[in-house]
Amino acid sequence: MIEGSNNLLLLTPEFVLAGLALLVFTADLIIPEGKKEWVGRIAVVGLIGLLFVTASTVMGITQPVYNNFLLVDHYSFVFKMIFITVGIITILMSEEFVKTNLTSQGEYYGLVLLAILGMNILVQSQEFLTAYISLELLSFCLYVLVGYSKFNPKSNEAAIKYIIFGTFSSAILLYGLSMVYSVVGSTLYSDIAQVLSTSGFMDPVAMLGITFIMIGIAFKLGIVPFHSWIPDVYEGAPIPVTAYLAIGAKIAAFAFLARVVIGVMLPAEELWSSWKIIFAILAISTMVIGNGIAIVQTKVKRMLAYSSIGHSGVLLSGIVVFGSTNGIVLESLGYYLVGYAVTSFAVFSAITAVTYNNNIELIKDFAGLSDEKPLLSASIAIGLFSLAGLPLFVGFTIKFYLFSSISIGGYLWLAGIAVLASLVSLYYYLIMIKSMYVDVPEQERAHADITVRWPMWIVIILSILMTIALGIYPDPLVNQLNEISDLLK
Amino acid sequence: MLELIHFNILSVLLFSVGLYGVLARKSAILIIMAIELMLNAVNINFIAAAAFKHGGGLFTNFDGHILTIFIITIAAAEVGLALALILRIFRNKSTVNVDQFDMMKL
Repeated sequence: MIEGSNNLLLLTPEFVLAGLALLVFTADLIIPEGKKEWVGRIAVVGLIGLLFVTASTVMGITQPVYNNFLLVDHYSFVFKMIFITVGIITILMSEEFVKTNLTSQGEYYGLVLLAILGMNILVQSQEFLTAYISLELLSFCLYVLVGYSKFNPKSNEAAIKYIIFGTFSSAILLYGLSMVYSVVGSTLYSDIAQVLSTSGFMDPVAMLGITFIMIGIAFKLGIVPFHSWIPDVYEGAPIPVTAYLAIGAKIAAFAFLARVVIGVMLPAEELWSSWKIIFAILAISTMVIGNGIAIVQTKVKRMLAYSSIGHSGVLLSGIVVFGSTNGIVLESLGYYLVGYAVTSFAVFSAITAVTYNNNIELIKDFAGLSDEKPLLSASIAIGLFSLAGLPLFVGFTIKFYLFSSISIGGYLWLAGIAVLASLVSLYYYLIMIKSMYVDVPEQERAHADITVRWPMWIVIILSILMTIALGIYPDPLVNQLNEISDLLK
Repeated sequence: MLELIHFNILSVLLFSVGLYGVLARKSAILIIMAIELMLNAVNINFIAAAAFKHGGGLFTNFDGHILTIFIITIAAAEVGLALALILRIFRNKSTVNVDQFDMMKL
């Protein structure tokens, strides 16, 4: 036992979150049918409280817990705040959808909370077993959430596809871990890194193990060629869950990948210098294929799914320059993730509001939306422009930061390909915007029965404001994120 | 005399059988069974490494044994969840053949 490394007070946010999830499940038993939105409101209030609890207990602390199994530091603090905020916004935007479309409504909110718990532990784990268990906690909640629309065959089908791909990728990750374990004898990142960084170390079993682990993580993140589940799952899932997958789960998987790369691969310089090339190739193929296939999509959710694959590629190209820059790339990746989350919420919340009581899913069905619901279509348009990276919005600033730190790291050509890929993405985002603003609808007043309640208005207006505000004045956020770049120094 | 390598070969064979099952089987239930085989291959690898190398280098803790117990538990939960989801789709579509899960296209 190492003295002082078992300060459980540092895990207060996780304990509170687990308690809150159980409280929400209990509240579901007490609150009568028809008033289930109060379950969600309890969850929102609890999560807002949790933001303050997290800020007051772990802010600015860097300390290992449970004999180095977990590391509480600024990186995990920043990501915890992001996950909790994503959870709040997801619950607010789900409320009306859950009420009109789903059965057994209360448990939905509890599962969202448990998924946040999984993400929180995932970002601070320093050991593969802990990381695996928290990854599975996150994934199990998502499997259920994807199939939550019980009587909708599409949702069932998406859940089956997701669980088969998810467990398959976990099995590959674990097999890689078992190979690494049989060489190293430990699953701590630091121990593995120590063995790998021995000069001249070329054990084929360990190398194959690392490759398998990376394949497992790439499956979770949706990197081409392991992306095939993403469009189907995103299309079949209930749309707030799609948003949660595209934003929360993606950020969590990415934070995990960055932790593994920093913890295991960066110390082993010979290994990292060859893996860098692999990451660069994967990043390019992800950006090209994601954005390329998105062009021909006719359904909104599939278009957004391929666009999110494209964004994974951009994020992966940030990982390539780990080690070549003095930490600035980590800061810009954090900024990119926040900007991506805010912007995606502007798009997804408005699309949720448009689609929850009619079954439109094709891009051309959005024709005429701008005349009937100007604010909703403005939200989608602003979000899409920002995702494409037009100035004034946060999408431009995040891309500017990330691409410049990639070129500082010596990979100007990679940044160039990323710029071209976002240029392609502008094309298919513009198809959607044209459909809303220019095209003549097939029938008059197709969107007349859309009603938007206040929780959704809060989400939509807040995301639009943040999309613009963070684009014009990113200083406060970037200063906060500045400290996470210490990890790479 | 049995060496560590024999267990590793057994584990690789089991993993390959599982991988083949996932790729070739049509029934969702058999695919889940094949994934279970892959997880069991992982368990054999962990237990064999922990038992044969115990005491040398970093192999002083019981990491391998603990990992195996956790993986068995999680695999059980995984199967429960997967079977529940398969039951749901069977109610709605009256089939568990993955070739017929093709509602979502361009």
